[in-house]
Amino acid sequence: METILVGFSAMSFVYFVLLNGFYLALTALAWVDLRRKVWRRRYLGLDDVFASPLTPGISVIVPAYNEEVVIVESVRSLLALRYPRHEVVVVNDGSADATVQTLIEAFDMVPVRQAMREGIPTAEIRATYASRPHPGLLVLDKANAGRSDALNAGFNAARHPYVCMIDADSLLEPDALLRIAKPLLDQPGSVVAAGGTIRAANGCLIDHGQVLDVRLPRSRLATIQSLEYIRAFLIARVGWGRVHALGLISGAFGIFDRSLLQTVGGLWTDTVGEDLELTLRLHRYLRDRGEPYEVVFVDDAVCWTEVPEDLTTLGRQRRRWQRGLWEALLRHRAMIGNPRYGVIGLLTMIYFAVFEFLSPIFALLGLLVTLGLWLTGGVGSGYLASFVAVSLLLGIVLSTAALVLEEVSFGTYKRRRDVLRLLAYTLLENVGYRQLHHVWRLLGFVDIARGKTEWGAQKRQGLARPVGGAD
Amino acid sequence: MTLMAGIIALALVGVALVLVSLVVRSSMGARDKRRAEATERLRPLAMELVDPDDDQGAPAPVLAGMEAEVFGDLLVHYSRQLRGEAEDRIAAYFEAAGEVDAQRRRLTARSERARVDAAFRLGDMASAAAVPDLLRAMEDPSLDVRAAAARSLGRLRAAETVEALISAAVTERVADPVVGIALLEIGPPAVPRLITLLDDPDPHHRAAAVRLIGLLGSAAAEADELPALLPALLRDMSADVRAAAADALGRLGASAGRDALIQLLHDRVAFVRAAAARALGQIGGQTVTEALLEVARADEFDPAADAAQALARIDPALVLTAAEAPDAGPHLREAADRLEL
Repeated sequence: METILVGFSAMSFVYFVLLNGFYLALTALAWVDLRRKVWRRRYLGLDDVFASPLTPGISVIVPAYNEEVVIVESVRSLLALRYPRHEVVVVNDGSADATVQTLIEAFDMVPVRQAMREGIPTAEIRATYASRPHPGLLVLDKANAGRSDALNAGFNAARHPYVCMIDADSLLEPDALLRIAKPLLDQPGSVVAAGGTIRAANGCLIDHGQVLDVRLPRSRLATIQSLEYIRAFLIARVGWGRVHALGLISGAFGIFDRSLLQTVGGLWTDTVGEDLELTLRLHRYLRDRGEPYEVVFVDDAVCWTEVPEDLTTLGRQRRRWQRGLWEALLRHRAMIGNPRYGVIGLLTMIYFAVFEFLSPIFALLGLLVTLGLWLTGGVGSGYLASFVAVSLLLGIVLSTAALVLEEVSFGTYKRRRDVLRLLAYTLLENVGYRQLHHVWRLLGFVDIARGKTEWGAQKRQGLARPVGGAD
Repeated sequence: MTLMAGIIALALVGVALVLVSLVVRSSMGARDKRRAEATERLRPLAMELVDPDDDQGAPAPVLAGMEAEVFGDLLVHYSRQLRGEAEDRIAAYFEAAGEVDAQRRRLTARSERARVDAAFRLGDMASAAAVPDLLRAMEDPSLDVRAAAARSLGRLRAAETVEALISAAVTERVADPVVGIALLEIGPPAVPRLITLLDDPDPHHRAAAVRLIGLLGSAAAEADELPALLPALLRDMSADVRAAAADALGRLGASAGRDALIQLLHDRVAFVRAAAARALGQIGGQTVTEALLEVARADEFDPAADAAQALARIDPALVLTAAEAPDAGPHLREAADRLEL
């Protein structure tokens, strides 16, 4: 038995070496990429893009479920985005509260018999409303069938060639659409999807749907997630994008070619990992047909979102992510390690399967087994020290590197104490939080085995409400 | 233990880098504050130079160091918004200060970043003296330099460079939309060369040319010739070209193309039919309503939606009546409801 456990510990050791080696490589790629992009930002010519009649139109699709508190501010800020041609389509997903009534009153909306594409099947649309003062605002009121179904209804109603998905309580920076659309002009005809950076908005000073002052949250859990998001977006996404292997456009903020979405059938409604599944399906569809395309990541197009501040909600979210990952991998298992899908099959899919999906087995159990072996004398202190070094300390190195990159490339957090706090949290993130995260992912396996399908309740404070608004 | 020591050392390097970046940012913050103060102090001087109170014009201030930079940035900001004499004054300032020559020299620097910066800034200095250098920069090995040079040639409205710009797009040395934006800045003087591109063997270029002609043509000297030139393109082999030609005829309000556009409502490609419907909506005329009504009732989503909107523009009363018919279809009903908003 001990031999088996030692063997498992050794496998976990190798796993950590490979995983963190992989992340170091992504960090190096992200460093190279961001260093090139940072000075180029001065020459984007966003004013020219804004003024050009050649800039493609974008339909911003906002699924809303029980969002009466935040929806008006959210829509106001989306209507005010700096973009030459965009519409906002709010899809009320059978809310039990007064989401629709609030919108009708705030934006002087009246019923219209809106023509809808029939390409993607959705739950029944009960009514559609157009705004008298805002021709670019449309509200669909449909039966409850989940976020993906609501987005699909929005795709069917969209009038512009590109659609942007965003959550009702997330906030886009005023020029986020211009920035995310820039690759459409620089690489015309080839970009089918683009993702932007998601940042944790908890703690920020927000008024009328705009982040006025970036601050770290008071909550420890939210602060750790702020760091986690920096690492996930500024290291992982930028690095993957650099080698054309971006496997995920976040559903919280991404743009897609509408006609392509219609062709592939929109979002899959029977999964909780709909954004990952869609991104993989687009890769698969286009590579199966040998069509040239690009899926890109735009680091300076920023969306602010609320992250969970309590363990229950966060745990539920991470278990759901694990389930979504499983569902996407299962559906696209033919892509894993398949050279037909190029770098996506050979690199991204293997990474998702081995280093994401199986991570709790090696990362959590491996650590526990190694500690147990050391306590029982199965392995020596030198081995344990090496294990801790590659599993925990290397994680701290990576988080610190992400923070350096954030500071050099963006400097989002202006307060010195916020940066120092983030620096301190690189330790907490890797010793304690990450293990807890793996426990949640392990519980995700239980959900998968039980065949769990629902999203589960999401507790949120709400970001888009005006300063001084009701809690 | 060596492994652990190595990784701890790496982590400490990371911590040190974060701390250094904080110090650097702090000093940059102080510099930005000084610049902001200088900007507020120099703004009245810049405005006086751009828009003087008397005909004599304000003398250019003699500045050095950071103040010269800030003053230059203010003028660059104004040059993006102003035309005519104000732009001439801005160009005169930069030429007299030696800034234009300095940036022209930087166009041949070894550093790509310096070349991009120079190519970009020259467009905002409003000096025609930079045009030959920017034209040479269109041959730069760096795509970013070429794109910045194309933008600047547009900003300088250098009509003599239209051919070079189009050639850069044709040979894919600069992205089509970037060149498109530059040509739109140049405006109607670009039209004659765009007309010659209508016979280009590459359908992408024909489509791009006809699209730009649609955007610029009404103000061009050749405006009267265009309605006769474009209908032939409605029979082009490429659907992109047919759609772009329809859009252009619509923008130009060219009633000469009306019959050909009505025919195009039966094109085999849906987005071409949609473009024809949009164009007929812009051109108008009671003779097109019957054909549009048929498309609005029975065609696929996009052409039907565009036909219904076109009809609503030409004959709102007809849409309100037709929408109540049992076979009206969703698009006429939507158009009718939106008419009542």
